[in-house]
Amino acid sequence: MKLSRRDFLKSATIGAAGVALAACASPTPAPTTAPKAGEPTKPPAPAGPVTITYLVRTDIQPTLIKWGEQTVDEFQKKNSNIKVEMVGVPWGDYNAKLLAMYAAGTPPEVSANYAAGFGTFLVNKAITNLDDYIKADKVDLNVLEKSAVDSVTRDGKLWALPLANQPMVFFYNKDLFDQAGAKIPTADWTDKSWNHDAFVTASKAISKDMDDPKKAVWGSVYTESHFGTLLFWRYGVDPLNNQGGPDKTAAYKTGKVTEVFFDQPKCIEAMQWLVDLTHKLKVSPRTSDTDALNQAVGWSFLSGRIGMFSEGTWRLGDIFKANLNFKWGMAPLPFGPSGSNLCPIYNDSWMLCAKSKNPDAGWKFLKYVGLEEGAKLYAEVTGFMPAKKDLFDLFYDSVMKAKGFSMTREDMIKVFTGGFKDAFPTPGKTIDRFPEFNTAWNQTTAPIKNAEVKVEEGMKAVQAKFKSLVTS
Amino acid sequence: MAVADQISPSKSFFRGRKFHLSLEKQEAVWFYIFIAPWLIAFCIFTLGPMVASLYFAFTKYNAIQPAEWIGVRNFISLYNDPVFWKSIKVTFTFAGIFVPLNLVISLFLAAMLNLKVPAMRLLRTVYYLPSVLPEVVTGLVWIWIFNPDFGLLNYIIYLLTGIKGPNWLGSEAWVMPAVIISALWGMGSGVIIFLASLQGVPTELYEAAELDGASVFDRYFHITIPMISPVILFNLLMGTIGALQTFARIYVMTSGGPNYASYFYNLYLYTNAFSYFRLGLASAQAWILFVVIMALTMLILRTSGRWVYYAGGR
Amino acid sequence: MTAITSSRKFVIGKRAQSILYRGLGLLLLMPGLAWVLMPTAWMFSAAFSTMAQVMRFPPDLIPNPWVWTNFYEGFTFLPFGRYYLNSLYIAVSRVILQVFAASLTGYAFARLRAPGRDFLFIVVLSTLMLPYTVTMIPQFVLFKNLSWINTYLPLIIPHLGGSAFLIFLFRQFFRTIQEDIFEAARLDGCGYFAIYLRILMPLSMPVITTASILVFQNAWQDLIGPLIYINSTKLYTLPIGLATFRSSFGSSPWNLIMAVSMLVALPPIALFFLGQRYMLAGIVVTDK
Repeated sequence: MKLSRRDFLKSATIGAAGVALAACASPTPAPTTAPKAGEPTKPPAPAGPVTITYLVRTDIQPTLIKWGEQTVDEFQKKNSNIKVEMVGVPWGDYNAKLLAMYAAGTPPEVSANYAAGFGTFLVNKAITNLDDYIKADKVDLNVLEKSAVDSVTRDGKLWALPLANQPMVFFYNKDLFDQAGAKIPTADWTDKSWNHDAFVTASKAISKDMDDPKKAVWGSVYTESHFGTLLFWRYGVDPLNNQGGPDKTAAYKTGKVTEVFFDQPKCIEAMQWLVDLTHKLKVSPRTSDTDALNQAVGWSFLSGRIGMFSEGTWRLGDIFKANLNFKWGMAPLPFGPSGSNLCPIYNDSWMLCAKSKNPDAGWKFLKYVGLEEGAKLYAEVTGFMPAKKDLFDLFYDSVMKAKGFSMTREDMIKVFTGGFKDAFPTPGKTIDRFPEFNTAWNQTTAPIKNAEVKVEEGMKAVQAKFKSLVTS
Repeated sequence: MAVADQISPSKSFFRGRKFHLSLEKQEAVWFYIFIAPWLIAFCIFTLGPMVASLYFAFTKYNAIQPAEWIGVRNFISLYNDPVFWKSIKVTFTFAGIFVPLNLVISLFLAAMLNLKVPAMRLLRTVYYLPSVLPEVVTGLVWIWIFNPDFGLLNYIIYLLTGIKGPNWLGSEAWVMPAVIISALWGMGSGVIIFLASLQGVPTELYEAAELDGASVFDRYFHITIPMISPVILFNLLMGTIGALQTFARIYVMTSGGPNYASYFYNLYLYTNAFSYFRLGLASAQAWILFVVIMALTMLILRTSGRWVYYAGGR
Repeated sequence: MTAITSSRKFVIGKRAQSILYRGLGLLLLMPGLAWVLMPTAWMFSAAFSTMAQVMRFPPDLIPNPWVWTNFYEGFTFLPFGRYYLNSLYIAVSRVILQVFAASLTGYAFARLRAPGRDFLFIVVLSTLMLPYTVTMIPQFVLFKNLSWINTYLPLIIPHLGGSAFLIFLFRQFFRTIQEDIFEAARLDGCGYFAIYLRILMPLSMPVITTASILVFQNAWQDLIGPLIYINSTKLYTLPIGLATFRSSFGSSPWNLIMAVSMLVALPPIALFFLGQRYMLAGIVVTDK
C-alpha cells in the first residue's frame, strides 16, 4: 500500500536512469526492476508489479480512510501484480496536490474527489472515458442506481464511476418534535400534506428561547443546495432556464451554462420565503449562528438544538459516530407551492485520471471498489448510500444500527427509495465550471440572507454576477 | 555559473598572490564566498520556478495540458474583471490600516514586554502562545468571538456601551474591521524581533540621557526609536509584503465573504489556480502583485535613508 | 549606576518613577493578556472536556467532569509519536542550516562591499514577493525530476541558503553594530570569517535566538510543503496529522484535537520560554 524506503530508493534509481517516472514501474525494462520469476513474458505487459496511486481526501470520515486501507489490502491480495499507493490530502489542498502531480507527469491513476463533479475535470481534459473498459469487461451498468449513472454521463459517455449516491432529505430531531407536540413528518414522498406550510407550522412549534444563547432551539435549517436549486425546484422553476423545472435546462445535459434567470419572479418569491424563515418568522438561525455551530460540532444538527435540517444522506456518517443523545429520523423534502418535491441527488464518483501511467491497473482497482467486493465494505461502514443497488440492504442494516434512530426499517426504505423516484442530479455534479458558479452564489447571496438588501434587489445582483460569468 | 567566476580569484589569493588583490577586491571576493550558499540555492531551487511562472503568466495553463501561449490575454481579462479590482481594493485597504497599526502596537508591546518586572518571562510566553496555536483552533475561536448573537466581542461591547454589536463576519461593512482585529491578535514575529532589537541599544546612551534629565518618553523617542530604526524598516517591509499576501486566515475565517467584502488578492489567486484550474491566469496575478510589491519596496527603501539610522554605516 | 552617587533625593525619585512606569506598563499589558488568553483558555478547557460538553454552544469554560484520557486517546488515534519525531527532524535541520547560512549572507550584505551587492540584495528580497501558489507547481516538477518526492529533501535542502526573511533580518541587525569594532578587529589582523565567527556571533545572541525561534515555528507549522511532497503516512508531520484528524464535514472530535494541539504547541512554546534568556541577553556594545 505504501512505498517502503527500499521501494522509494528503487524508484529513485529509475528516475535517475532517465525514465521520467518515479513511483511507477514502466513498461520499458528499467535496470533495477527484475521481472518476477514464473510470470509469462509478454512483451507489452508490465514486467514487475505495477504501482498505481489513488488520491483521496482525508478529511471526510475516519471510517472512510480505514475502509480505504482495508480495501487496498484486500485488493492487493487478489491482484499480486498491482500495488496501490493510497495518498491522502485534506480537501483544501486536494487540487493543489492533484495538479502538481499532473504537472510532473505522474497523475494518480484513481482520483476519489468527493464533492467535486466530473464536469470541471472533463473540460480540463483531466479524466479518461470509461466506455471502453465497460465494454471490454462487459460491465452491466444497470446494477447501479440510474440517477447516479445519469449524473456522470454526458452525450451517452460515462466519465466516472459512482460509488455513493445520496438523496437530500430532512433530518429531524424526534425529541424536539415530541416536546413541542408537533406532528412527526411522513416518510411518504407522495404525501402532499407534507408541504412548505406544514414545514413552517412544525418549525414554529419547535422554536423556543431564541434570545437565550444557552438554551435557544431553532425549528429548522432549510439549506437551499447548489445555487438555490432545492428551493427553486419547489417553486417549479430552475435558475438556468425560464421555461420551468430542471428538466428544461439544457446545461444539465451539455455541462455548458449559457443562460441564467436568477431574477425571475418565482426565484425572488422563493428567496423571500427562505429569508423570512430567519428574519420574519424567526424559526431558523442566522447564517453566522449556523456557521458557529457547524464549526463546533461539524454539523449544527448534531448539537440537538435544531428541529429539522435539510442535508444529503451522506450526513449519516457523522451521525454514526456522533453518539447522539436524542432520537432522530429522516423525512422527505416537503412539497413546494408549485406542487413539486423533486429531490436533488448527490453522487460521489471516482475518476480515472488522464495521462496516468497504468490506467488499466487503475481501472481494475476502480472496478473493485465500485462494482465488486470493495463496494460491499463501503456500504457497511461509511454511512454513504452506495450506488450499487444490491448493496442497499447492507447499507440499510448499518443505518438501523445507528444510535437514536427512531424509524421503522420500512419507513426508512420509503424515504430513500422515494427520493430516487422523483430525482434530479444536483447541478454541482453535472455542470462544467461549477466551483466558479458556487463561489458566485455564496458570495452574492450573503447580503440577501443577512437581510441587508431587499430580496429583489439582491437577486438582480446575483443575476448580474452569473450573467458576467456566463459570458466570460 | 557566475559564482564560480567570482570564487576563482580567491584560489589564487590563497596561493599567496594576495598582493595583487587590492583590499577592495578581497572584500568583494569574500562577499561572494559568503553569499554563495544562498546564491547557489537560489539559482537551483528558486530562479527556475520563478521564470517558469513568469512564462505561464502569458499562457493558458491548467497543469494538465501543455501551456499554450496567449500573449497578454490573461492580463487583459484581469483588467476587465471586477472581482480582480475588488480584491485589490480589499487587500490594499487592509494593508493600509493593518501595517501601520501593527507596527505601532508591536513597538509598544515590545517596550512593555522588555520591562524588568517579576514573571515577565511567563508573561511574554503567554503573549507568544497565539503564534503557535494550530490554525484549526484559531479559525474556530474567531468564528465564535465574532458571532453576532452569542460572541464574546459583542458581549463585551454590550456590557460597556449597552449597544448591540454588529454581525461582524456576516456584514460587508464589518468584516474588514473583524479581519484586522484578528490579524492584530497576539504577538507576531514583529514583537519578538523588536524585543531582540531593544537589547542592542547601548545602555550608556540611556545613562547619558538620564543625566541630562530626559524623561522616559524623550528617551524612547530620541534614543530607542532611532537606534532600532533599521529593525523598524525590516518590520515595515516584511509587514507590508505579508499583508499584501494575506491568505490563510481569510481562507479559514471568511472564505472572502460576504459578497467579496474580504476577497483578498491571494485568495482569488489561489482560487483561480486550484479551484478553477487557471494556473496561467493565477501566474499573471502573481506577477502583477510582484511588480506592485517591488515598486513599494523600492519606494520604502529609497525613502528609508531619511529616517533609518545605521550605526555601522556602509 | 552613576546616578546613585549624585544625590540621594534624586535617586528615590528616580526609583519611584521607574517602579511607577513598570507598574503602568504591567497594567497596560493586562487587557491584552486576557484577549490573548481567551482562545487558549478555551482550548485548554476543551482538551479536558467530554465531547458533549465541547459541543455546547456558547462554550463552557470549566470542564465538568475533567477528562484526562483525551491526551492519551488523541495521541494514539493516529501515530502522533512518529509525526512528532518527523517534525522535529525537519525543524531542527532547518534551524541549523538556515540560521547559519542566513547570518553569513546577512553579514556579507551588511558589512562587505562588492560590486553588484545592492542589486543582489533586491534579488534576495524579490524571492518574498511572488506568491508561493504559482511557484509551487514548477518547484514540484523540479523535485520530481530530482526524484525527491516523498522525502524530506524538498523541505530542507532549498533552505540551505537561508531565507530572504532571515538574511534581511540579520543584515538589519548587523548594521546596527558600531563600525569601529570591525575596524579594530581588522587592524588586529582578523579575516572576514574570523570577524563573523569571533566578534559578530557572540554579539548577536538576541537575533540568532530570535531567528531560531522564528524558523522553528515556521517549520513546525508548515502544512502545505509536507502535504505536497510527502505521500507516505510514515513520513507525515504534525500539521498533516492534525489536518487529517479534523474532518471538515464530520463532527470533529474537538476535545481530542485540542488535547493533541496542546501537545503539538509545546515544543515551540518551550523553545520560546527557554530562548528568552539568550534573546534578551542584553549584550552591551561599548566602544570604551
